Amino acid sequence: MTGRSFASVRQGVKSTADRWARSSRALKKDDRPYGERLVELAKRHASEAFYGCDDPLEAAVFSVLVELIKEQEQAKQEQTGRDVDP
Amino acid sequence: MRIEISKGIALQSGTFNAVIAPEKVIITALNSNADLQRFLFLFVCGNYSRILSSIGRTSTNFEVRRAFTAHQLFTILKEASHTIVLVEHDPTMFDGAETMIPPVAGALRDVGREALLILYTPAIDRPFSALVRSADRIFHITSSGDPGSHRNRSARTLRSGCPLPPAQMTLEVS
Amino acid sequence: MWILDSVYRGGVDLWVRDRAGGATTKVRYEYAPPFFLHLPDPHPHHGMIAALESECRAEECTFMTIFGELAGYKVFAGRPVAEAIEQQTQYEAQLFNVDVRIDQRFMAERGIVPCCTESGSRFLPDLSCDLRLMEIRIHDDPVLSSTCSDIDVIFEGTEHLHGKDRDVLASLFPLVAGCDPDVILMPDADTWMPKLQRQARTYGLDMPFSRSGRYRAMSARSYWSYGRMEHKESALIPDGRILIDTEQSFVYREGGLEGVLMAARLSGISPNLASRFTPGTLISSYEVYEAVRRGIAVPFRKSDVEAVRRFSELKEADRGGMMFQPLPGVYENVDEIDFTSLYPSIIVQSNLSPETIGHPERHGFLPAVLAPLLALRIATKQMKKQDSRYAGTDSILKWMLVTCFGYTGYKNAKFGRIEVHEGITGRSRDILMLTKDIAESMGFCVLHGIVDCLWVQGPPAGALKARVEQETGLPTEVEHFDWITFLPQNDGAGSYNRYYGRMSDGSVKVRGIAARRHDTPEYIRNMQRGMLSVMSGAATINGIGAVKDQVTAIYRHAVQDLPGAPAPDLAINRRISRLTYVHRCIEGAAVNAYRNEGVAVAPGMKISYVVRDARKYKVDPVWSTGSFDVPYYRDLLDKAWNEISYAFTSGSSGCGEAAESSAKQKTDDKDRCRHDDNACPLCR
Repeated sequence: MTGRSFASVRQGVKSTADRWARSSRALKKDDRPYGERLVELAKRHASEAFYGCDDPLEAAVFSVLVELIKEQEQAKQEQTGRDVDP
Repeated sequence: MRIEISKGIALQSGTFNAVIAPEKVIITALNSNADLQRFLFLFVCGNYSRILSSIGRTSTNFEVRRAFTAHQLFTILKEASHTIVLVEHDPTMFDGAETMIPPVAGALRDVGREALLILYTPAIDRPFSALVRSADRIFHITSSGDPGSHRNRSARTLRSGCPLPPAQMTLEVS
Repeated sequence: MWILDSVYRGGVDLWVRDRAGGATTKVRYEYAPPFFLHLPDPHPHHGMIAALESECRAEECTFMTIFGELAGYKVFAGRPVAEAIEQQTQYEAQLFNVDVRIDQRFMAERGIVPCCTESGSRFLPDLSCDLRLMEIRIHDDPVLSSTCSDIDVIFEGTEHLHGKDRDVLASLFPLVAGCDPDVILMPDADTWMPKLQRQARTYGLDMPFSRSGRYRAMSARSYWSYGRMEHKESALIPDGRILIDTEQSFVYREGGLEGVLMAARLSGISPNLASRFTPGTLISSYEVYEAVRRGIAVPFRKSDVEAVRRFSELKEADRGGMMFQPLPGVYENVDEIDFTSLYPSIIVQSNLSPETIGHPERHGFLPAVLAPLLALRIATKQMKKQDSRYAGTDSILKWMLVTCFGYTGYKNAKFGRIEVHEGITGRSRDILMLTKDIAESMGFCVLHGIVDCLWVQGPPAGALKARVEQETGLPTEVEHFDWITFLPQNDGAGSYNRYYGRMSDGSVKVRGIAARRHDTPEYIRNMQRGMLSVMSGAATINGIGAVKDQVTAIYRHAVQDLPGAPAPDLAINRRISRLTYVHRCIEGAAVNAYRNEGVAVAPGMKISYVVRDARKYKVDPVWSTGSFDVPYYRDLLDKAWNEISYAFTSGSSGCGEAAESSAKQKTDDKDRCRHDDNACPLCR
């Protein structure tokens, strides 16, 4: 929306993600996909994070952490599932 | 009290300072200057600010007041009682309200008598030129880089923008 | 009395229509109201006050503002004196009722409005009036031509007038005078009237449009409205007869004649002016009318400044509506739940007004004034479903309410304060969040949300609607989609405002894609519309898949026929926001092309052009176009095709499933679109 005095959190997260994307290019070839993944995760929940955070960096980090926890839990469940099945 | 806003540029209280500089310069000055945190600091801007979003989350002590019309800017300046006042110039503020330029210029002058007043713009325009006619000092800061290019750049800004009032002290710093 | 028009000419002229006979007569009232002055510290200005008292008739008085009573003076003088007082007191003086339209003020003080019977309430949606209506259609080009040679006049039958300019006008004028219509609908009237007046003078003819022989001028200007430049043609407005420029009038285009009359009735402004106002000006006028009617003085300058705030507080408050980003994909059985006029509803429900900030016990002016308008809109929204006669009124109400507190409109609003706006957006975020919570607790999956609406997938939505309305206290509407496609942005993340889908009645709802955008060339719009028409026959995602070949064929034909398409079908219509461009670009070239053909351009004007050679920035205005840049338009065509073909590649999505397909889609989309994110008009 036009007229805001502060750039929207979503725009801020996009700027942060763009910077992280640039930094990712400097990573070693094998590490680069993880950097790109990080950029994607940062943007995933930017809009929702905006509800509680007015700082773009905080919103980006929130978004990444939520996805990491989700993946961890899903991996654990799969592991448990595999352990249970004979 | 004096504040250093850039290497070698120190501003005194009780002065009206006009600063023309790239946004990065003023943002760095605001973010990295511990002195600014200690004093009663008022940031004034229009509807849309280029600077506010880039101010770091640690420098949150200062106060903000926005002016959406020239009359509001006038009121804000009249009511300002802070030690440091930074006004981010809004180029559209005086569209259709050119008659407000002299009273606002007067209000700026009055604020500059007691406080350390900075009127900031990234590029000079006609209203800005008119407002700073009674400034004590005008600082034109260009960004660092190849000496040849930034000399040209500052010259270009002066040519394409409006001429600065002649009887002022102008400092060009690179 | 039923007032058709009002004019201030040294006194207030009301043009009153006799319902029985149909005749309109002018009734004149002497009226010279004062403005109000308040000096916070009167002592330094004794001399000035004495001068005002002796020269202008100034009297001590008290008067009401929305904040309370003020002591000051009423000064019987005009705006120039008010402005002189401002200067003299160095803007310490607070002035009121300086720029209120005098005819509006006259009516407001007496509780009367145009286009309404005295006994009827002006908040009733019914407009019973039997005005004599005439349409005048001038077929000559209003931009290029300064004379008329071909006119159709429709009034109980159609008369064709053509021939030499002088003869045509010599036939037109007596026709208008003889039929004596109450309302004239004329496309591009505001462009034509100054030309007609010039020609009339040249030929010594009497222009009959004004019932008094006199005209008011509204000058041409460009102005910012809602984040973009608008352009108003200069207008010659007749007295005692309504002249509507059906091409330029937003109110007429959206609401028809009913919309214009309702806008006049609500805002207390003559329909002649109301048809030329933007919705923002209409709602402002409405607020001013209501203020005067209640004896509240209208501030002259918008100097009501926001309070000083800490940086961190401001940052937290300066936020817009809540949004939930969609996972791109195609979804079946989706419901869209919309809050009706959310922001005005919040103003009323939460008692938000400049004077209630910090004083919630006060009854706010804004809520009191908006409540009847809101109630009327909620009524007309339902009524129009049964009876399309209410659609025009509903549309105007919708627009007035939507603009009633815009952030950028805030600059000109007499009764507005930024903290009120922030209160509204804050509450709107909470409401959308609450709605999401309710939906999820009832087993729905939330797919997407923007500020005042939510898209959900799950059980039938009737129970959700009921519960949301009960818990928020606000009215909602639910629309059901058999299927809906949420498009991705360039980076694969969901787009906030680009989607299309089939509703349960078989119609297609579209947002943000080529078919809906104003600047899309007709050729491309038609292609996309054709595709959507075929897809609308499918009620399921499988059904969409079944028509893939048919739709792809439409694309292939469009590509094949493109080189031979008529150039005007490829015209891009844009509203220009500036006259000079920093970088060389197509739009800038178009502005120059217009200028080179001698057509005056102003920011806010609509231009129509065809790209002849994109790389060399060669552009032609639509009326002198020949060839066009096929690869350039092929590119636009492909973008439009991508928006549709996405639905075929995406596969079915439920909550959470879309993530996988969208990630895959991301790489495909990236390869397809070569444009920069912000530069390309069809990318977002």
